[in-house]
Amino acid sequence: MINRRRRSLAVWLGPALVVTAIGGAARAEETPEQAALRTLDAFMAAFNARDVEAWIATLHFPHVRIASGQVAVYEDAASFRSDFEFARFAEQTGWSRSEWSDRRVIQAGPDKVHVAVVFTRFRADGSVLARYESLYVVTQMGGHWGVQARSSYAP
Amino acid sequence: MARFSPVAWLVSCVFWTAAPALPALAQYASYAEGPETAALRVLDDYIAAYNARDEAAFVATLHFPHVRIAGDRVRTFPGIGEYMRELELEKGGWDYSTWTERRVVQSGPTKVHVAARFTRYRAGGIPVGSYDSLYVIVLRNGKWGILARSSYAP
Repeated sequence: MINRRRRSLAVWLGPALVVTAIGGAARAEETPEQAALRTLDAFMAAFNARDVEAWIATLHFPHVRIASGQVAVYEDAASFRSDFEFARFAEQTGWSRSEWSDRRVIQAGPDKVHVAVVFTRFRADGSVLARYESLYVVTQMGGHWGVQARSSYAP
Repeated sequence: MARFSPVAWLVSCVFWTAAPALPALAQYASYAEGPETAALRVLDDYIAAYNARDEAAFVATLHFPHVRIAGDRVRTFPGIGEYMRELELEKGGWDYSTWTERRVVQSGPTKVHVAARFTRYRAGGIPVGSYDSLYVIVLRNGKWGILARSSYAP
């Protein structure tokens, strides 16, 4: 009886443990460069989905944004959340979605990666609205990779 | 009694006519220099002031609010006063630094991103360490300065 229960437990838990171990090993083998680019993928996906919480999850705080010669420092998620509205941004600019046109890792260390990017903004009909260069500082804190700072040529 | 000199009078006229335009000319010279050349000149001044332990000259190469990302910290210095209070130009055993490499990564009319590598030396020219770093250099009010930097140095 006990042996049968053990066998049943092994049948159910075995695959779960294997999958967890493989997933953990894959993440452990991820290089800083790969982790930074994965973070930028998540950043862009959340931005296009207009999902503020998912977007915030890809950032580290204090979060720094440099654009148009100005420096904005968001101390926490709350200050970031209150400063951006997707609907207003779309209405003011005619933006519908964005995509990375180019991404180049410039410098990388175990906990920080500098990525030079070009991103393109599109209108709803798929036409190009604008294309800008930008620089991202992606850091690892407490096992989590996030965008710590960005300096953009967008207005 | 001084004699009237037409040449001196003409020079004086030219000078006083051009004087109000001098600041604009200086700004034009800054633009004419080209953003990338201007940014690299700022980095030259920055490291020269650092090596000379000249705090005033060092701070003059920065723009405020100034952002520094190093270690696991993001520091924002609102003004020169806050920066000067924490500025240490002499750290244990360090004598001077040099740029080992500088590469303009992105540039526009008022902003340049430069990826750099610098080496710290002890007295006697013994290298202590080399670190990658990134500089955001902007043109503001006719002056180029470092607005932010992200370094791999401890």
